[in-house]
Parts: sequence; C-alpha cells; structure tokens
Amino acid sequence: MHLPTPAGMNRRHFMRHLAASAATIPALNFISHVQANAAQLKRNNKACILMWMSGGPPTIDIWDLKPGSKNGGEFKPISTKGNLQISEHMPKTAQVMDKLSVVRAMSTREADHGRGRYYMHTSYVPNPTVVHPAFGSVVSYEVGTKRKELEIPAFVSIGGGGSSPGFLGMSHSPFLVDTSGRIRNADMGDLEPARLNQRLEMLGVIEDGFIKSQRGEYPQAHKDIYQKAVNLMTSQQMEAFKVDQESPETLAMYTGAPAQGGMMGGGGQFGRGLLMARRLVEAGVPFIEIDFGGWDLHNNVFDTLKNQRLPQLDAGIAGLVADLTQRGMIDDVTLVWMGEFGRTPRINQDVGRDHWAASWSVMIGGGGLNGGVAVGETDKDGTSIASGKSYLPGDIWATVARQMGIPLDTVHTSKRGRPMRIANGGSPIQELIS
Amino acid sequence: MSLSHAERQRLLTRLDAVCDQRAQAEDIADIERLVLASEEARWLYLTYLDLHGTLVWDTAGGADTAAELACYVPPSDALPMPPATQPNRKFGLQLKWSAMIALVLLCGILVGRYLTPPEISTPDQLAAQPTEEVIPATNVVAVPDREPTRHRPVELSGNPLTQANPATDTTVTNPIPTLAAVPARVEPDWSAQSLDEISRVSRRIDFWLAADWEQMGISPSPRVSDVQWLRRAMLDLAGRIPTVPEVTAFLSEESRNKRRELVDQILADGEYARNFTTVWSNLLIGRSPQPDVDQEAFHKYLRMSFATNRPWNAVVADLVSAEGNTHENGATNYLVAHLNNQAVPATAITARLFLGQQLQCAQCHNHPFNDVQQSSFWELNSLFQQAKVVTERPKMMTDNRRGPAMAALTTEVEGGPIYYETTNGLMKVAFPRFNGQDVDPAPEVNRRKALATLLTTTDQPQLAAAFVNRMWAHFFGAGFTTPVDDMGPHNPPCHPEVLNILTEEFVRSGYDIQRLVRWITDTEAYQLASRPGEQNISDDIATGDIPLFSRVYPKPMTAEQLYDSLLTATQAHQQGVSDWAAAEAQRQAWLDEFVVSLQNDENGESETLSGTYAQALTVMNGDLMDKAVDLSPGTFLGELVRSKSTETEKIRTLCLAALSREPTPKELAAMQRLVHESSANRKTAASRVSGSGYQDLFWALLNSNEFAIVH
Repeated sequence: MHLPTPAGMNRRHFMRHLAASAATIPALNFISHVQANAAQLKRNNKACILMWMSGGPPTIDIWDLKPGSKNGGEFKPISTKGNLQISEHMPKTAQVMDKLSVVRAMSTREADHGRGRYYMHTSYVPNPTVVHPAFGSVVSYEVGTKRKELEIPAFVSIGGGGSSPGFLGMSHSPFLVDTSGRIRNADMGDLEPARLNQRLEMLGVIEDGFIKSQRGEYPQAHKDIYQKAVNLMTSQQMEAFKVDQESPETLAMYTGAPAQGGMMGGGGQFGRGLLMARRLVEAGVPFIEIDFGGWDLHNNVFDTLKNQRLPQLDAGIAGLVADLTQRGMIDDVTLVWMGEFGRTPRINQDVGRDHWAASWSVMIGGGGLNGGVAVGETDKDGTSIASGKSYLPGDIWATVARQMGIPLDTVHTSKRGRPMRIANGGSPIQELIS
Repeated sequence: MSLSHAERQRLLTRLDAVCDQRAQAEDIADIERLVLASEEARWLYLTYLDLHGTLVWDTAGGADTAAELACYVPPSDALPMPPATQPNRKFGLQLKWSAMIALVLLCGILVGRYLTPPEISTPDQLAAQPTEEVIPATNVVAVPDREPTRHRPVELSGNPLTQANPATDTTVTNPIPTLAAVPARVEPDWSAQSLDEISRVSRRIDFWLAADWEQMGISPSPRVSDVQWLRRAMLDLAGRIPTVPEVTAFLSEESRNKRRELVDQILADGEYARNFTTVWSNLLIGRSPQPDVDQEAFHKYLRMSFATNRPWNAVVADLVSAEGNTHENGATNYLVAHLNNQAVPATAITARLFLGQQLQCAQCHNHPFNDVQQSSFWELNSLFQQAKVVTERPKMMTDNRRGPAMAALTTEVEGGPIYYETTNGLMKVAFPRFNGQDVDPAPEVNRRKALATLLTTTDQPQLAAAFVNRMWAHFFGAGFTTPVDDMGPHNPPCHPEVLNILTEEFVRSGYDIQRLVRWITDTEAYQLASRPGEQNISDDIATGDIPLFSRVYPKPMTAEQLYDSLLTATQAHQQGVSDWAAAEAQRQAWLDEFVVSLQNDENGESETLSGTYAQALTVMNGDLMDKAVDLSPGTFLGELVRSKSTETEKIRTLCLAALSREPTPKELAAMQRLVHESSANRKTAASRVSGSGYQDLFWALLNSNEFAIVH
C-alpha cells in the first residue's frame, strides 16, 4: 500500500526515521503513526481534480434537463440527494449530489474546439501576443512550489493532450501520463545514482554555458524540466501512479465493473484515471486533470450517451466522491467537471447536438463548497440564461483558487511585463461559498 | 496616425475585457487613449464591439427573445432547415423594434463613414468629429429598457476626445516604437549591380530589413560561424544535425559561396524532400493514424512532389481535386482525412493552410474586423459538397474472403448551393466560390476539378503569400504575422515590403518552392547568429513584440528533428535496421508515443514531446540513448573509444557529433575531469568498462539544451 506523504515528511526523512526507529517500534505502528499525522496535516493537502470532457459535453442531457421542451431530448430528470435534478442516466451520481453543485448559467462565447479549450483552461480568450497558463499550471506555480516535500510534478494530466504553462514556464507544464500508470522511460535501469550524478554534473556545465548565451527562454526551461524529471525518477512518490496496487473492490467503486470480473477492457479508463488522481492527491499533488473524450456528438447523441459515455461518467464521479468522503478528503479536494463548451439545445437532423457556448453547465463540488446547489438557470428551452447572472471560466477558477487558499489578488506578469490577474479577475461564486 | 501591431493587440485585449465585463479603470483609460490617437483604432473599436458586443450580449442572455444565436455547427445534411422560430412574446416585438431602430442608426453611421473618402486626419479634424462615431456602444447593442443593468458593452465615461488624461498613461505598458512611422524609402537601382536569379531577390530583402533595423535604432547580431550555420541549415532543410564528416568537410571548404552551395546540395538530396514531407504531412493530415487514411501513400505523394519540385499551386490543386483509391493516389488522403462533419474540417484547414485565413469563426458569423464574411466559409465548403469517401472491402483473388477495407475519394453528381444559418436565424445560400472566384454550381461540373483549374491557370497571390509566410517562419522561427496562418487586414504583416517581394517573385517563378528556399536562406538575416547583442536585445519574440529578424530566433526541435538528430549523432541508423521501410516504421512507432488526439470533430491533435517531461525522460532513459552509449564493436561510441586518437581528440569528436562545435577551453577541462573520474570510480566489476567516462560525456551532450534547440 502506498503511504500518504505529509508535509515535512519527505522520502529521505522517512528513510532516516525508519532506520532510527526500526529497532524500537514495529514498522506497523510506525505506519499508523504516519496515517494519524496525515489527518492533522491535511490542511496542506488542498487539491483540485479537473474532469475534462474533451469534445464538448451535452450538458442539457446531463445536468440541466428540459423535460417538455422541443429541445428536451430522450432523457428524463431524476431527483438527487441535493437540491436539484439531473439525468436519469446518472443514478449513482444522484446519490452523492449533496456534495456536488451545478453552475447552470455558464455563458462562454467560444464555440470552436481550440479556442474553447484554451478559454476554459486559462480563463483568457486566445491572444496572439501572449500564451496564458492553464489553471493547473497556475496551481503548480502558486501551490506546488511551496510543497517542498513534493518530488513529482505538481500538475499531472491523465490521458490528455496537455495544455500550455504559458508565461509561467515549462517547469509548470503538466506531466502527462496514461491511465495505465506506467511512466515511460522513468526507470534508470541499473545506472548507479553516483554515476547519474556525474552525468548530471557534466550536463550542468554544458547547459549553463548555453543559458548564459541569452538565446531566449528555451535553454533555461530545458534545464528546469530536466531537474524535475530527475527528481521524479528517483522518487518513492512515483508509487502513486500505480493504480494496480489498489484492491479490485476499490477499483470497482470507480468503474462500476464487478469487483471479481477481471480487469475491464476499454470501459473503465475514466474511473481508473480518477482513482489515480485520488492517489496523487494523497501523495501531495495539488492539481490533476483527467481527460475523458468522446463528447463531440454531432450525431446519435442519445444512444451514445446512454450506452457509452454516461455509465462510465456516472460510476467514476460517484466512486470518486464516495471514496474521498470515506477518507475524509472531500472537503480538501475541489472537483471541477467541464469541456470546451456545451451543445446546442436544438437537436439536429442527425439526432445530434452541435457546438454551443451560450448557455451550458459546469459541475463543481467538494473542496468545502456548498453541495447540492443549482447555480443560475437556463430558460425552458435551454437556449439562454434565464437567471440574471451568467458565469465565465474565470468565476469557476476563482472559486477553486479561493478553496485552495490561493489569494484572489494574485497577479502574474507576462513576459512583456503585462500584469495578469489570477483567473482573469473572476469572482468566487457566492451560492457555493456562503 | 496608424495603429502599431502592439497597440492593436493591446486594444483588442482591452476590448475583450470590456466584452467580458472585466474591464478595469486602466483598461478604459487605455482604450480612450488609443481610440483618441488614431482613426484606425476607432474603426477597430466600432467593428469589434459591433460584432463581439452583440455576440456577448446574446450569449450572456441579454436578448432572451432571440432563439439560438451563438456559434454552432449546422447539421450534416445540406437541406434547408426551417428558420429558428421566435418565441411568441409581447416584448419580443418591442425589442425587435428597438433593435431595428438601433440598427438603422448604426447603419447610418457606418454608411456615412464608408462614403467619406479616406483621408489622413489631422488632430484638429479628429477633435472636430462628432462623438457618436467614437462611442457607438449604446447604438451597437440593442439594450432593452427593462433590464438596463445587465451585460452591455461598457460606456466610456464622457467624451474621450476631450478627456484624454495623461495621468492614466503611466499605468499602461510603455509605448512601443512603431514601424509605421518609417518614412518612404526607395530601393536602389538594382540593375546597376550584377545579380543572379537568387541574389536579385535576397538583396532586396536585405535592403528592406536593414531599413527597418535602422529605423528601430538597432544593429543586427553578427554573422554566425560557419559551423553553427551549418547545424541550423541542416536542421531546417534536412531535419537533422550534420554528421562529424559533414562538419569537417564544410569547415575545410574554401568556396566563398559555400553556404549557398550547401543549400543547393541539400535541396537536390532526398533528405530535403523527406523533411518537408514530415513538416507538411503533420500540417495536412496530422500525425495520428486515422481509419481510411493511408499515411504512407500520402507521404509518398508529398515526397515525390518536393523531390521533383512540383509547383506549390499544382500541389494544392492535386490535394483538393484528387480522386481514387487512397493507396494508389496518395493525394486523396488530404480530403479523406477531413471530409467528416460536413467537410467543416476540410473547409477550415484548406482556408488556414492554403490561404492563411482563419475561417473557423466565420462558420457561424461574419468576421468582426476584416472582410471575411460568413458566406466565405460556406462558399468554400460548397466546393467540397460533391466529394464523398467510399469504403469498400474488395474480394480477395484467391478465395471469397474480403480483403482489408479500402477507402476511395469520389465525386458525386450534385449541384446547387449550401444552406447555412446566420446568427440571427436567417437561412442563407452559398454558391461555390474560392477566394473571390466563382465556380460553376451546375451538378455536372466537378467543382474540385474546376477549383484545380483555377489554381493552376490564374494568379493566386493569397495562396502564394500564405506559403511564403509559413516558409519564412520555418527558417526564422517567426512569420510576418502571428499566428502564421491568420493573415488579413485585421492582422497586418510586419515588414510588408519583404512579404510582398517574396510573394510577387514566388508567383512569377511559377510557385517554385526550392527557389523560394534559396531566396530565404540567401538573405543576410539568415546568416546571423541567434544570440542577441547589446544593440538588438530588444528583438525578442518571446515578449510578443513584432519580430525584426535582426537575428534568427532559437526554436526547440520538433519530435521528428529530435529523433533524426539523435540517430545522426550516434549513427544508430547504421546499426540494426538497414531496410528503409523498416527504419521509417521504427521512427513512426517512436513518434506515435507522443501524439495525443484531441478527440474532436476538427481532427485536432497535440504533440506532447517537445520541451516536456516526456522528452527529458525519453532522451535520458529511452532505447535510443541505450543505443547511443553502447560500447560494442561497430557502434559509433565503441569505435571511437577503441580508436588510437588522443583523449582530447575523442572529446572533440563527441562535441562535434552532438553539438557540431568544438568544446570551449573551460568545457574541455571539465570534460577531461569527468572522463577520468568516471573511469576511475567504477566500483563494481560489471561497470568497470573502459570508456564509461566517454559514455557519461556523450550522454550529457545529447541531453543538453544546446543539442535540443535549433539556434
């Protein structure tokens, strides 16, 4: 089993401690001691898990149903443990909706995949003169750098194509892994640490010379990322990626597959990714993104949702919330579920829905936020925001920043010296925090 | 006074903030300042808020009587759809009236402006202009009376023309000197000089760039050393670093024209064709494998085209008009890869790659500040209306089993326009048209063939400019516009004279790709170092400033360059696989690990190697590195270690192999120390291999930033 690594308790510390105390206290006692400490130190383990629905999910069929409307589609709403209804094909999630809320008044104006992806990740619309950091990179910069005990990257992206750290620098880029938990080429083979050090020393001589030659940002970025890569190669925290160390029962909780049914095929990747995310949070990683694609449903939306997307989504979310709750972590981990945009309320001739950014939903919960709330509403056909206020990605990320203890007056500076306010100056969503 | 590139970007950012309701006092103050200062800024302000203000208003639910207003992709069937119905509410009518009145007002203003002959306004004239023209906010967006507090474009306080407040100026970025102030320059009489077909063009470019440098008060970086230039040119042209023999040969070559001769030599060589095939295949069909797409056949088509120097307009004509089996006619794979989703990706990518136009947004609405209209998108789309991908599984000759699925691109007899919906729910038609040139919409006319004829029989300056821009960026690390594929009046190019010269000459040359490469690589700018000097440290594209090309900007290697360069440095290609096809397959397998599909209808993908953890881990610990530091007989390192040369000589060779340069004295000392220590300190018997010090040194060289950057 993998141990959580609390603040101030890094691997070297652990090894020393273990060596010193091994003679006097049994190892098992020591482990439970660490676990007790973990609870006390949890305040430092604030984290965010972003569930990224690549392609743009039809939130009108998931979080904000319109029964009786011409746009309503095939699904019916069901009641939940929270104060809102969701899709009938999300029955397990319905049982944990007291922990989760839905912002139903998103209005984000970018309905192109690339632009929407950028906007939702960074809170800024694309601009040719500057690359803004994804919020995961912001967390790496603001929170990750303060977690001295963290030896693996502070921003991990599971199964996705990554995002740019922008002007914060490559060392805050996401560490990309797939759901297998196998990290390619992280193994040094039988190279002795002393020899690795010698190589790195030589590397340092060559790299520093090149950095001094003022050839822009890449030389330094290259050095930074190597430093982090070497750290992770030698870290015990890499165990956190090994999802297979979990019991079949735990895995089944996230995938909805029967515990004894053997390893699932392609079916449980989302749940597996979420389980890995929980393990990473326990290891101290503050931001994890899980990519779950297949939402660009220009045709055959209802069958695909009912038979493929929603069962996985439902099991994954419900499993994660139950597990985090059980472990007493739910109030420290903010969960965000979003894609590039929503999909057209109107059902097209191929029984599909197209791109739609005008009125859609983002799910957000845990992290000490109010659960079971529907924030804002759309009109009866789902085509526009019926409540007064609409929300932008910056409001979502400002809410996350607040819950993670990142001050909202934080300002970053672009390469040109232009000040950039965190989450593009968005405000935490009142209904979720009061 | 016109708006500089930087000012334009700043204004757009601030206007975005206004649309997002995020504008701060300093944003407003800066908008005021910019709008006051130039007529162009006023136009930008007007057109931007006209469209984006309206869109934001709509999407934010400001006009809740309107039906589905924002951006969406129409259904894939091209039949006309009923117009979206308006909810039947009383105030809907009122809103419509107020909107119409507002529109009439706006039109009045716009028409008035268009009718005014363009002239350069003096400050006095500016001050005398009526303020409605500058502050159209309340006219642009129909604000219903009942909820005046909701989203609406911000109103500038008072009259910006009379309230310029110098005190607020300190809060904004320092004004950037602008090229626009350059007084007209006249080129010298070139005919007086004896210039050949290449220098005839490159000297003109030198002239214009030098003029811009002088104007900006900077001096260019010095010329880069021959050996460093060789490394850059090889990476740009052949996609790999030079070998040790190539470095040595180039250094000992005494010809005054040796740089030009090297370019000619690489162009004549298969590696140029292979490298540009990689570059263009990534752009045209992407790296991820797709069902129905025969990547290998596509590569073969491109390789043949670049090797025989097929004119660019003919290549584009092939790509848009190809028919037949994807295996037999490689060019078909371009459209086969992008005809999904009612050919929306094919339309967007064709516009972006071949015309340098970003039409994705025009799919749903008119472009806010250039003359690209929504109709342009669907007119272009209409050209692909007849194209269909047919998949069949031919019967095997020997028995009755079906063979593997084969895709073919065919043309159906189908006529008429495409129907699309505007933001306000109107149905419109689009007839086939390419970049302003009509194509016969009759069913029996093969539109793609007609397009190919257009491309090859009429001048296509936009096609040429888009290619020139991308090619320039390939060599310099920055194009004349940022991004390279977003050209147009809304995003004016830097160094327009240079772009124009190259575009005109490229058209005149018959879209001769290799000649374009010769012109670009023969410019003085391409001979310069990447390292800035005291006098041009400000020429830095990382800050978002416009490139001045007073040096060549460093760029990280692409995944392909990294792979091919590692192979070159270690001569790993000389071991193991000797068969070309197998080597290509191995390379492809290595690259596939680093490509992630973005799983959307625009066939997006991202390369996840360059500059990431994956690169660090792969180069440090991957199979390629194992091979690189292998000391067995027959390997590069093994032979070097066993050779009779001196220790210094061996270290020098390793530096040349990896970095194409000699070590500095300081480096040499450190390297010698390492080689000794590493060899002396091996504790276990297994690692007491002679040469382990060289292994460590080579490992460090290949992992260095200097190796992984094209500079």
